[in-house]
Amino acid sequence: MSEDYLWDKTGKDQEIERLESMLSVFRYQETDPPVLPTTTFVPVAEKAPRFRFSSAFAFAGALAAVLIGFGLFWLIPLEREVAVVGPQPPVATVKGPITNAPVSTEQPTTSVPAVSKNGAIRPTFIKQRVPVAIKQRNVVAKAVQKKVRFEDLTQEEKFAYGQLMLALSITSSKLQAVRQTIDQIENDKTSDKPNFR
Amino acid sequence: MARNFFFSQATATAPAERKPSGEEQLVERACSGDGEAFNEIYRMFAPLVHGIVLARVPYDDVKDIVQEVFLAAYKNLDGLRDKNAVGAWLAKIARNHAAEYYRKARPTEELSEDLSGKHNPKAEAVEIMRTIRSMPETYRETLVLRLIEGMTGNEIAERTGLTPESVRVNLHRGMDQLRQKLGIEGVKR
Repeated sequence: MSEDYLWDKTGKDQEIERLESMLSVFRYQETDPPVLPTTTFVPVAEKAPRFRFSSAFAFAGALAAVLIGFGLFWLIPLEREVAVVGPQPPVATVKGPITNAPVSTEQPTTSVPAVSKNGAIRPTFIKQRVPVAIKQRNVVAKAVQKKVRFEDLTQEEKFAYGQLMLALSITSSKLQAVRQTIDQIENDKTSDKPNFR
Repeated sequence: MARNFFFSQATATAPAERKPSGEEQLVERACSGDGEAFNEIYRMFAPLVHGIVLARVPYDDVKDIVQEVFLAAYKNLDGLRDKNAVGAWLAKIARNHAAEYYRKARPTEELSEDLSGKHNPKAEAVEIMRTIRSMPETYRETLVLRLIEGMTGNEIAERTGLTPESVRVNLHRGMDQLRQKLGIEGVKR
């Protein structure tokens, strides 16, 4: 065996040459290279832009809604003048010395008349602090609600009302007495003892 | 002195400007879509791929697999890192495709009656081929490239990326083993 022939085909080796010739049936025969895939560009007609509901659009919408809500909440004033239709409730007055006698429930002459001269009902405005956004229904309901007249009260209610008024009058008279006493003491101090200090 | 030493070191280790080889230029052209460049690569390496596939797969299916190998190479040409090692890269793809062939469980090659005659030279070739295929992978691949594809030892080393020493060892050991299997009396070294 010639090592040179096996390595670089130099020299001669009949055995290897015979093998080569026998195996030549399997040798590569030049063929055309494979057909390479080509990139084809299919023209696509331009389509009109289509509206798509994207998540960004949804987020923007939600943000706008929240901003509008906050804006309305802060822009609308919390205080409102609510019209209360109907006459003022009767106010009890204490005339003369404080006694245990029943309290008179005459209509106050100095208060604003509930009914005007020509007979039309005048609305009386009362300032109320109400949260508009939350309690608007309640406010409207209260505004519509009419005040009950003293004559329409039951006996028990009238008695309770009288007792309450009595207590208030007693308290106010006692406070008045205390005030008078304080004033008197101060007058005495200023007149009799000018060099008190 | 020290300055001169460092200067000399720097100049000694400075990389020289490398000129792209013909193989590398072909790959670059093929990457940029030049079909003719790829055809040139095909003509250069088709015998190598054919031999590697033939060492594993029945002859009738070799041509199809060779085409598949080059198509796969064309698709993945951008992934080739060393553009000077196209042969080794193609050999690897060829080995993978040959292994894939057996994973698909195709029918094995059967020797027809016409080829089974003792005096039929093609029948003898089939028998030798069968013997070569029964040998270890490293030997059979080298032997097929040498005996069938007609490459020299240096060409095998150059195209497969193996060292010439490895190819030489594989050739001689493979040839000895083939001779033993075929019952050929060779010259004892």
